[in-house]
Amino acid sequence: MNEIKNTQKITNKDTLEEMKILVIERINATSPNLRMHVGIAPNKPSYTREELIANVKAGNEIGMQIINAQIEYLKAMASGEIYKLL
Amino acid sequence: MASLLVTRPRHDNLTTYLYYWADAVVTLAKEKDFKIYDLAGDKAIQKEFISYMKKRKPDLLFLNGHGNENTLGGHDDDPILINGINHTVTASAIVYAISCSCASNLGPACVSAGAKAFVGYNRPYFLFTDDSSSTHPLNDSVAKLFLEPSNLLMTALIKGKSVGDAYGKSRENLIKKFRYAISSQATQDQRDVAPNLYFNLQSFVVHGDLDATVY
Repeated sequence: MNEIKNTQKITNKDTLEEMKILVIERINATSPNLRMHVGIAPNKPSYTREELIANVKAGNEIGMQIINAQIEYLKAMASGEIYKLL
Repeated sequence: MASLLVTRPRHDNLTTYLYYWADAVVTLAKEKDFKIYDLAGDKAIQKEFISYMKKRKPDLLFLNGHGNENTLGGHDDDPILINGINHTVTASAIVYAISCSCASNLGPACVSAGAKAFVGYNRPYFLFTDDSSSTHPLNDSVAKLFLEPSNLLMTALIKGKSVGDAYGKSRENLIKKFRYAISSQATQDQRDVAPNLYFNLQSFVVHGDLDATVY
């Protein structure tokens, strides 16, 4: 119940660039009505779809959080971990 | 008579949503004859928080705001609870924090200093909202996926459930919301946020005494 799932650091630049492309395409396919809020003080806490993409391209703190969330989900799908919840 | 202290700033979109969604928790606590200390809007600052904590020693804390591993913020991100500075004020309380990463360092520190339990998120907390519902946060069908499970934790604690039971119910509801989000019944907006629901689920943790109750 208390297991901490650490976010893995992406150290390979090529891998990171591929991940960015994948995540940007996934975000591009989402609804334009959505707004993401993440409470990492003191950054700007609210993002449109276009702003999310800009942050992912920049690879900044917010961008990396978005990438990590998406990749974690995809890995969980691929490994079957998601299906333990179904 | 049990007591509840709520911090709910309202200075940006995220905190505004948390502010309105916290209404149901405050209402239930009133119905259950809780003494309520509602630090809303610009009252959610360190000076007020510390004053209430020291004088009133509330049993249950519901803290909403921006944060990081060691700090939880209030109005205009004024840091109200800080690891290593004033975290000992939470001694004897059960704490739930909707805030990024507070449960990674701040939470365990509070428990070590005497808090009965600390429930929260040990990584960034994501909330998605539907722009078309921004003036009616409680009708937002996307935000509901994130905030209904969160409120369930508080309502369970207010109704006298143990920390472990309340955490379990909340987590189960978040899983239910995730299952719904990936189903064909969900709208596109709801399906699009499934990865972040999953991320929050994996970040949702509890520290301290799972058998602790508010009363």
